Amino acid sequence: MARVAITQRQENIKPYSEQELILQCQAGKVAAFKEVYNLHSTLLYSIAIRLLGKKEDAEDALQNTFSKLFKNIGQFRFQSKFSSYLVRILINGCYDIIEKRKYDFEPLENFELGQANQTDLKLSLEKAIACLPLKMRECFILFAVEGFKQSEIAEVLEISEGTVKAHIFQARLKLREFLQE
Amino acid sequence: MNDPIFDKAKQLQPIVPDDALWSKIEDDLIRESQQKRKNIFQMALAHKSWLSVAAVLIISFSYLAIYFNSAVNLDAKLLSTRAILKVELTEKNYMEAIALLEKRAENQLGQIDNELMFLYRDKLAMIDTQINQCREAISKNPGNAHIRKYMLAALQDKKHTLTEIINLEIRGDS
Repeated sequence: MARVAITQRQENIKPYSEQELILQCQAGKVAAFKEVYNLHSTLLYSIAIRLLGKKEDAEDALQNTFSKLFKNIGQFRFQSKFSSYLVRILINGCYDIIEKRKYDFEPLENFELGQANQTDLKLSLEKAIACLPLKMRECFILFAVEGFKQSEIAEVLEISEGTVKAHIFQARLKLREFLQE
Repeated sequence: MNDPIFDKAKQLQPIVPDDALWSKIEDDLIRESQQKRKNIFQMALAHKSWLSVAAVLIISFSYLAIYFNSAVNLDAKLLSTRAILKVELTEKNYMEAIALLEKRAENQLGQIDNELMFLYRDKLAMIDTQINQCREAISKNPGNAHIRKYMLAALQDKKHTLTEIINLEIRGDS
């Protein structure tokens, strides 16, 4: 997550604190939403594509996230981290897409990552992650790839921290199996 | 958690969306924004009809309230003017009657007992003082009912006293 913030901030550094930015968004300023997009789009898109496996679906998920954010930003009360709030909207959007399209995840055929830049082991890991069951995949991606704390994941996914730990543990075992094969 | 899987997972590259994606999102947001404004405008329009009805009702009630209030005030004003005219007419009648009685009583006062004459003169002088005080107060406040009442009482008293003097004389003659 920190990595995202650093890469994204390089081009668009503005004298806004996150709170000021959110207030601008609450005032309905589209420019402020662009700044939010610049700061968080890579994180959100990375999660979406790893969850959904298709570029179009990930783009739809991101588009829906910003549409919902625009409608509901007024309800944000600064009680949780803004990035967690965004990820929660995104993941709910991903559930909607999975529900609507009723597709079985086909990661091996449709995985559209930047394969060219990845080593074989990383690529294998990407594919293995894509084979995990949905909840396990969510927890592993947020924890191991994006660096969220287990408590944050519990908040985002609205499950207990114990369940998050169990999912991560199970994911690790399954991934080890996949990679050994 | 020291596990090579976690180490490798941390090294997975972030995936950047296409540059064109923001344009699509921006279009969406602008559309949403316009829709929001439209909704607000429609809501305002919907409420506008209610606001107009409320405004008409308020104006109507205010107008009626002012109308009735002014009508009551006008009636009160008319009544007081009429009452004053009536009182003034009564006072005028009393004054004319008293003037006639005074002439007759004055002729007779010289012929009655001195002591009685002084008593009556004192009483008349007292009543005159009372009448003059009332007249002065009425000139400052013509609508004051209490002063009018004192004035009429004083005039009545003078008329009664003068009649009494005249009657005494008549009784003395007989």
